[in-house]
Amino acid sequence: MLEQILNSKSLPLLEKMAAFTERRQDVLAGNIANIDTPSYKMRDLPVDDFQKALREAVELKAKLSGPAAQQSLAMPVTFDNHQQVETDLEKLFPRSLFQAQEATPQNITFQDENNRSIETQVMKMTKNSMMQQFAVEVMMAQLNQMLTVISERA
Amino acid sequence: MLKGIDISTSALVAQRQRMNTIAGNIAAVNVAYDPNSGEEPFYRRIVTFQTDTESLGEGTAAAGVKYKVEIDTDTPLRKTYDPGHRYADQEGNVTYPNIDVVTEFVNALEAGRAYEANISALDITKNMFSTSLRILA
Repeated sequence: MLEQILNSKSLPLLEKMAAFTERRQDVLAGNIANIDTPSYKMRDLPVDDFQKALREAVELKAKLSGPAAQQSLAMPVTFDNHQQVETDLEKLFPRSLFQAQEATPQNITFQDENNRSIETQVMKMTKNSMMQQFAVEVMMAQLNQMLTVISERA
Repeated sequence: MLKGIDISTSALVAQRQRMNTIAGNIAAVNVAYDPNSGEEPFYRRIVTFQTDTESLGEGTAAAGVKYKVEIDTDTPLRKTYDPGHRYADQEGNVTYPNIDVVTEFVNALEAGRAYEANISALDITKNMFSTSLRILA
């Protein structure tokens, strides 16, 4: 029952988002750590692919909880059960999304064959941290909402 | 995410070692070589960086950095004509280490800036971590 509530909202997706941003933070920290390493190429996680997977997941959810389900006052239709959600998410977010890849060379490559660009990296890091903050804030808002319902107070 | 902290720390350690090595080089820049001492003349030390994939971040391909201190014997030693010097050789030349102060200073500047960059990265990671902890609150 509680699992159904937990999975009915975007909570699982937010969880994935937080996990992704945290993993990405490690990779970006590695880039800055190797800023002076010869022949090191800057790495990143496939952000675009991740966003695409997110969109697909949202669309899938929208299809599962279609207008028919919303008209009836019943509980919103969720993924069948917890197990189902897990496997669905696993399919939508394969492990390869969390694997760092060497970015296609877009910066100037220096003489030591390192394509460093500290500005780009710090910019990415800042954006990444904002994304993580967003995921956590929304997650907290939903949990608080649930808490209010449970305690029957407005 | 704690791995991110380790990665940044590995870079901080490496950059500090680089800074120490540069300080050593600058300190020794005017040490004349005594040909009768039987010792090797002082050569410039350089710190080289390498990606460290083994100890940190296997799986994520997020990598720390490791360093090696190498001795630069390729650059020729600096010779100054100074026949009155007590360490002058037969031709009147005194041998000094192969250290160029300007190069060292540029490297020191770079090391300092890289150190700062890693501190900033560490700060962002730390903030993200405390944001995550707020889910519990």
